[in-house]
Amino acid sequence: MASPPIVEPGKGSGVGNAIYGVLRAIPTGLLWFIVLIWSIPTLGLAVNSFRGRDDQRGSGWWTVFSDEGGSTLDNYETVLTASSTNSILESLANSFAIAIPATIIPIAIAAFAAYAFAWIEFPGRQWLFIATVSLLAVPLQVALIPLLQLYSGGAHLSLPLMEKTVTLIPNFDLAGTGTAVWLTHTGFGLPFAIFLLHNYISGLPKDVFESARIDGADHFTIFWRIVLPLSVPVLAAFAIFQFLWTWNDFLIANTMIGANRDAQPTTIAIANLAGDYGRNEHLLSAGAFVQAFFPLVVFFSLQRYFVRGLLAGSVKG
Amino acid sequence: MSGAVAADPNAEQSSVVATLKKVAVVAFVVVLIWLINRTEQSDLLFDKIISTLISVAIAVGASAGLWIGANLLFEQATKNWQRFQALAAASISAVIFFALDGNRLLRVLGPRDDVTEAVQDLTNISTPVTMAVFLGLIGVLVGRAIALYRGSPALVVPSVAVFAVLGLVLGIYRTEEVAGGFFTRILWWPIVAGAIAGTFGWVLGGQSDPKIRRTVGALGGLILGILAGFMLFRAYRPVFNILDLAIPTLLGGALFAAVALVRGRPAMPTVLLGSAIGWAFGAFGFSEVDPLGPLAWQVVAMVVPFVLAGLWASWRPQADVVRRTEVSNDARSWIFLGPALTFIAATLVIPALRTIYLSLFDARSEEWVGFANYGRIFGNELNEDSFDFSRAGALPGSILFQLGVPLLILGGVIGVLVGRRRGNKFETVGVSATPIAIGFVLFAVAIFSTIRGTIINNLWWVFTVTTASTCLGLAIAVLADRSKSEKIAKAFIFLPMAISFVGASIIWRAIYQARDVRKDQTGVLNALWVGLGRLSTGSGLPTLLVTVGLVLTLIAILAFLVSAVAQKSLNGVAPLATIGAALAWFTYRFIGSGVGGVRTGPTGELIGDTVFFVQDSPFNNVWLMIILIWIQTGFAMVILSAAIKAVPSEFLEAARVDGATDAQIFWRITLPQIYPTIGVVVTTIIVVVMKVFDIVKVITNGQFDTQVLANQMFNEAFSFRDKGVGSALAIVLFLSVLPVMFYNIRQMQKAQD
Repeated sequence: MASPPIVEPGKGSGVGNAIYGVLRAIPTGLLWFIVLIWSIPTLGLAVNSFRGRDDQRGSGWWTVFSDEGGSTLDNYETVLTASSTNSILESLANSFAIAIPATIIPIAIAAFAAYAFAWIEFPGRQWLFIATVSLLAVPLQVALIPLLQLYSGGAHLSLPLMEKTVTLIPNFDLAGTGTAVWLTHTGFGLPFAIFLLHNYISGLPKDVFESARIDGADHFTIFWRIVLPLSVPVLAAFAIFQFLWTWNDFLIANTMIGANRDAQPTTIAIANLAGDYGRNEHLLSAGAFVQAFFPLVVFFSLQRYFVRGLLAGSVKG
Repeated sequence: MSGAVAADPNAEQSSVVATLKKVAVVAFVVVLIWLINRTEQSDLLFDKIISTLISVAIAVGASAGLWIGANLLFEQATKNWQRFQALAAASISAVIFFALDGNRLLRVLGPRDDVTEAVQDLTNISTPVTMAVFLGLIGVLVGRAIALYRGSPALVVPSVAVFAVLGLVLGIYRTEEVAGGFFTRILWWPIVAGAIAGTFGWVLGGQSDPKIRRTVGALGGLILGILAGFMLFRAYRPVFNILDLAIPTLLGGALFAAVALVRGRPAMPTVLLGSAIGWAFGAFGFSEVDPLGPLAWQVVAMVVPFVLAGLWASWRPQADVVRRTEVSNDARSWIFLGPALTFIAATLVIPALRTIYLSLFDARSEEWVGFANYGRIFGNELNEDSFDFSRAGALPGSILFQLGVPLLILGGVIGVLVGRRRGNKFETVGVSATPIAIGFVLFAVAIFSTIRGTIINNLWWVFTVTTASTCLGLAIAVLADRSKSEKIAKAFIFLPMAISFVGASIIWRAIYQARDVRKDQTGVLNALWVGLGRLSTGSGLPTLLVTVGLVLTLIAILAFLVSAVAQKSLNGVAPLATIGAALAWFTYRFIGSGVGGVRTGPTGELIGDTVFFVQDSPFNNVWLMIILIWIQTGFAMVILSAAIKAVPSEFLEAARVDGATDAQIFWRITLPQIYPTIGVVVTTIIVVVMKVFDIVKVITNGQFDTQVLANQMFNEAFSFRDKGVGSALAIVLFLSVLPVMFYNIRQMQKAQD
């Protein structure tokens, strides 16, 4: 801790100062100790991913610091070669095919809604906003079974008394496809997106809107010309969130895609690797590292936005 | 602390961070290129991504077009009422025709006869014109979009012209493809209907004489109705029965009239609308439908509701300026909210309601079973018990219980004694709060580890992960606050947030690995554990050094405690005493029979004892929880750290001037200031933990007594295909986060006031 020397009241003796000095040094040491502990798991994974199969099985990753353990890229080659049976390359493409639309589409939709909640007067606005945002806490398990039924059979309503069934949504045969996953992510991401964007957009200065209205701009023009350009930071923050969340998702993908190898994202692919007991143990570290690579890049390069989004989403509450 | 001192290292750090970022970006590009080169099937990979991107672009473009179109439409309500009326009538009719044509109920292939052949020919011949109209409309949108982008409306007319000509040319030279394809099948009728309705809307928009208006409205309805009848030339046709028609029509009219009267509006136009809807229900719902019925009936069935609707639209007098603004404004809120609310309703609200409904049925959603599924959950009739009291008898014998209860009592007694001296009932100070807190945690863990079951296990997760993540996050935030290397340290703690739960599970599974004690351990924890065992049972120099170190530390702690008590400065005594006690016990074991993965047995032989972190129940649950704590602490830290920085510095300085110690400032000023933020952190983590799934799924799949609700729900619903129990479990999960939801709503209402 960089702190000015505050003289502790009542402790003048040399021994007291010495003890105090030791105690003061503890926090920094402790902090780095915690950081070390927090990093060891990831470090171990990273080191192991460069060790051969026998090395990984025979000894712990930390032995590379003392022994002459050879490093190898074999694991990465196996995992990233499309023709090998344990490749996760195709699942990488699938993950992108899910994460990109699931990130872009909710941003637009949520921005409209956030603007309406913040700056358009209409009856029931407050109530509707609270209802929407309270869905944040709803566990998504609650929607999974009906959604899977919707994707695999469409939505049909049997009219009582008439003995006829009306098809509300035809069967697009989406079960087992990435489309089902990103559609689901889009819906599930919206409450948080609206909450986050609303916090920001409602905080924009009022005068801007008033003067624009006086100039004859309608809501569409204001949204397009003023709100969107001003909201770029929070849009970026949400985009990062949604990307990480959809890229790292396991539950929704597992439910909607399941065993369809053609559409599996990386999370399922590496979980499958982990499931083949023992056989592919040595590929797991490389696979997990490849899976985590893109989120980590996004995280490190855009951390500022990420943290800002996190704070905007919760501290003001 | 002071800005001048802090500025330098900060700048240095941000340059380090910037360098890291550059390295990350370069690494990203390098790996990407390497990836492309290494794959023989890279084409396939990129095809997949690019085809996704293209379809997303098309979907986004189409939706954006619709959305902007809706905005432009209602912009006309205030600018040009007549144009608005025409456009609105056209869009509504087009949508209705589109829906009618696409409806499965009506769209069943019926017989072909001369009339239907003639209709078919007509649609084919006129395709170029309708195609031109359709593309012309797209031209309007494109022109407006360009105009909006460039800020001038000059491009609308040329854009429309270009698109219309394109449509005409396409329609003429490619008649075969266009006529036989999607366009004529799906879009021809809506476009024609839109054009007709638009014309009538235009006329209506310019007329204020009620009689002429109603005539025009009825006429428009008639023409559209006939058109609709012919459009459905190959659909099921209603077989009329006077009762089936009259009752719904009258009922519809009466219902709408009642609503209008309750809302204090004139009844007349609304009755017309209600009757129209009632008729439609009667004709296509209650009546028999038959593919072989006469086409005339189809036409009549369509004409009546359309004429009624036309009358409804023209009944009211022309809207005045106030009403026009109102229309525009109301419509805007729905245009802006519409997409989001539709998505939320379709993916969250309606499915959730349907889950409640499904939870009352049997496994295949066929038979109504009432609350039997819930009965099975709470009556322990599933594969894993929800509440398992079979080991509750072991509770008094558990060492956690034996330590926790006395600590709780001790803390309580101290609190009361100190309180009596200061004239209060109970005093919360370090010496009373620490034993109570530790005792409570031990007591809770004792209970959770003896009373088992899925639901109890979930509660254990919530208790442990929420408490640990929040406390650790707070501690790290305090430690890092104002530290020189705050940013980097925090980034490392925060990093697990970016890793998937699956990835984290795999990382930790490696750490928890256990092997025979005679071989080298590959898991960090067992390696340390066995190493500790070797150390404590060994007799070499390291063992001696550690023993001496332990004893010296114990003596130092004891000396400090004695001097502190002698000086009557009780701050920090309680935690230090706890640490001392724990250390003393450890030292006793270390010197005695040994502690760790290798111990001395009763007869002096060495016993190997690696820990099976994943398999040994019940504490394997704690090892799984640690994974989530590892992830969530970063979240808690970031938010609490920001809250700590937001505490006004005047408060802190005032306290410092008054002679408060750092510890006092933290407990008495900083902590109360950030209570609301702690509430946010705790509720957020509770929700995350309550639905924990990935970690359990990947590591144990609920085996070894580690089942949680979310995984049980997944297994029941999707592995065992029991939709009833699966739904009921999902609802139980939902009910368990309901208190958090209510808390959040209350906080939001407070924030809005």
